[in-house]
Amino acid sequence: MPVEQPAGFGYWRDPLFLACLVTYFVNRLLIKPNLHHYSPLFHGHLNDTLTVPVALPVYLLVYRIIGFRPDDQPPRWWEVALHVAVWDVFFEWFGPHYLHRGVGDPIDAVCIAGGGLAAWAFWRWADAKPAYRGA
Amino acid sequence: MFDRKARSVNGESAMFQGLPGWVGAHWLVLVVKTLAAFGFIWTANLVILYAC
Repeated sequence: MPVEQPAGFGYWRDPLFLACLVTYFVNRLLIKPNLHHYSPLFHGHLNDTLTVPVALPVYLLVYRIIGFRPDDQPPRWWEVALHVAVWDVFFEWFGPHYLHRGVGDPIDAVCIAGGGLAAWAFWRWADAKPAYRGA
Repeated sequence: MFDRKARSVNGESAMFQGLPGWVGAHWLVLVVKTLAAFGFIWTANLVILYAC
């Protein structure tokens, strides 16, 4: 009887990716338009925190299609760290300074890194759960 | 997840058989893939920066 291979990382079907994507759109379409005062959380930090769990699976899927990613393992720590470093530089320095878009804020950089750390920890924890791997 | 049918034959990808040898050379494939990856990263980062 053949042994069934685990499904691996789901990319666009990953539950954390889907939950964070829904959170992003709920914030953008429902919460922010109804806020009467500036909220650092809903206008800034929440989006930054969601960067890794929402964007990284899409990036990794493209690398997989191109052939740079050899398997469907959950995001590795160095994959998360490398993208956090690139996004911190791009969104907090290059964008504001050279594209005049966005505001460079060290707290935003911390939020991107914190979201990445939390997402990596979740993916690592969930990888041990057979039900999650089959998602 | 993605079962690739193209296999390496004598250092060249089978999908390039019939074309001049340098077309399927590994270094050229690697260069093209790297450019594609950087193009995607650059474009996706700009989309996130301007749209989110």
